[in-house]
Amino acid sequence: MSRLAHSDTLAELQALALAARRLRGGILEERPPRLPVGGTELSGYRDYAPGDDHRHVDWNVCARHDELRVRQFAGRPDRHVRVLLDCSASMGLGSPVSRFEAACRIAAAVGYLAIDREACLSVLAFSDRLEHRIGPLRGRGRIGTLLNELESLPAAEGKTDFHGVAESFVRLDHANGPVVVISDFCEPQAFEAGLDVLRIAARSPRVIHLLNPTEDEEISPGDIELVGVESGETWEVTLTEPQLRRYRELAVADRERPRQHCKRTRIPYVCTGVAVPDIQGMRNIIAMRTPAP
Amino acid sequence: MITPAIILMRPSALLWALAAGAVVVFYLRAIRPPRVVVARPNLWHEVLGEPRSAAGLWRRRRVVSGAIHVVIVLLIALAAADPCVRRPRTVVFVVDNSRSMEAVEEDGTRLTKAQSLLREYLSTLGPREYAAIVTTAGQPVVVSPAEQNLHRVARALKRVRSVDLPSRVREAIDLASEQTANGTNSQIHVLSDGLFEGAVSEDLGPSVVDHPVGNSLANAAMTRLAVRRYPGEANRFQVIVEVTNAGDVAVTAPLQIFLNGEMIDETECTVDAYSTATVVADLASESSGPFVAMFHDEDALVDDNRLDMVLPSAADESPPSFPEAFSVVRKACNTQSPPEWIAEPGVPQRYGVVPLWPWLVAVAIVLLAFEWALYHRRWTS
Repeated sequence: MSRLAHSDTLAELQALALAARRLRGGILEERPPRLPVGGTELSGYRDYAPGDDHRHVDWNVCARHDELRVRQFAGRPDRHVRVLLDCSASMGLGSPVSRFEAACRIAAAVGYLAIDREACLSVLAFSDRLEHRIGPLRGRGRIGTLLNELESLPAAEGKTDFHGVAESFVRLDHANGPVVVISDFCEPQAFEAGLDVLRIAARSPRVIHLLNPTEDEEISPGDIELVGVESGETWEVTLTEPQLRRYRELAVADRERPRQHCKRTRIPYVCTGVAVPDIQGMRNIIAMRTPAP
Repeated sequence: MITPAIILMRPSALLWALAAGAVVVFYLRAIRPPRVVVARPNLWHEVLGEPRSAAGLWRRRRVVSGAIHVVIVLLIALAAADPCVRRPRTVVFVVDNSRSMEAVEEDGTRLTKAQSLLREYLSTLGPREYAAIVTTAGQPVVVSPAEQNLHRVARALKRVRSVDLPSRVREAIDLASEQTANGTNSQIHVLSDGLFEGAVSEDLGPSVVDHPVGNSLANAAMTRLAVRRYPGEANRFQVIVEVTNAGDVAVTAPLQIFLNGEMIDETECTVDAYSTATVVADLASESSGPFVAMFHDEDALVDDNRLDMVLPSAADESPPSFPEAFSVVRKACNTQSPPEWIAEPGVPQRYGVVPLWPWLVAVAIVLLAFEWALYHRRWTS
């Protein structure tokens, strides 16, 4: 089955873009820069201030004036939007659609909004490392490319190490702009560390948490074989009711951890179910509104 | 002596048991617990500990539980085979079918009584017991070889008819002992009126049970018929008839002489108990032909009350004359059962089967309850 039906997807995305234009704030909203940042045409110089990009320092002018001067550019600044898409094995779970398919639909929506806002879009699929990169894409003519690339992303597999991925990302990608992380956050501790890396590196992370509150409903007491989706370790056990109850309590707390962490660190956070979000669900996501349960 | 053994009444059920056991084993191998892929193994670590620490216990429990289930199925299948503790027998019935068995008594002839008694015995045999029938008159004959199909044995019994030949019970018993099926105890039951040579003096054997079918009715019969012509008087002849009474009461009955189907003389004959009477009659006739003497004792055997001969004609060149006689002698006149054989028939020995299937089912139920209580219930709640 096609992960993204283009005609339907495009119609939905256009409607979503229209809705997003009327939206204040939202997933791609950025705070105004503390310092003026440039476009592409040189318009003058100003004194260096902490936070300026070192590449904008004009060393010749500095030598003449014996002080640090940076170039100022006219025109609209480049806007970059990166989507970090979790493609680890845990994203392969979920029925009738997997978390990964839902994540691809959300990534397509976010990407469309970014391209619609004339931003430079990159989608990076990761597991325990950065696996695939789509983009950078700029201009509406690349919408098809975005959808095709998302369509052709390999199925979810591998372990998750978001901490390491975030460090790699910060090291390799220096562009400013929002970084949208789409994941199921199955290992919250690693994700918390990774989000902290992004936050400290001023990458403006935003979190879309794919939640499946019913993921454990098929587990019942009795003989059962539990297989860790990423680790592959197996428990062949006769599960008792108290054990199952204990696990469900832990799972509820585990699912709540990303929200708590984002709230504590002021990272925009939204959670959604694993089913393919409808148009209203997408609106909630781009508005960063977590729907009431 | 064959020790009691556990016999399967329906051994074919074991084949089904093997099939069922195989199905159960394959089923237990085939069914696996539901396999659930979990996204948060770190939480299961907290709940269940290390994977390997749980696996050993879990496997042991499943092996024990599976073994209990297999045992339960095998027990039920074994119960379906209907095992019984018993000593198998081959019961050979030696039926006296000599002419004396045609003696009419209260409930019909002795042979009819023997057949009815034998049918009663057959009904007491278990389904795994063998039965055979051997007759005694003349040359002993195996009417029905040892087999478990008692209906077929009963059908063979209907074919037994009396024969006018002496009874050879001893040889019939030897023949009966050869009919014993492998692995079984042999029991020989003789159904006779005791009118055979050596019935009183001889011991029939340790495994032989005799069932008398005769009673003490008086039985008298003609034992000798002799005719001799007077010399010089061709048309006169003398008839000598010996009547023997082997019964314990005196018998009085008319003695009739027929020549060519026409009664030429009738005499009232009285024979005391355990004695022989001789009747002599002088008769005259020139004709020759079938000569019959009839002794009309109602209790006598049907054919023992009559002796036949052909009276030679007076013109015969060599007619028997005094002191010689042309005679017919019947020796087998002992028509009364000897005292040892005058008794009520023995009660058929019931077949003592100890069925084991209720015990097997009970053990299976206990095992099932044990498995449920100790494993299923305890481990999942």
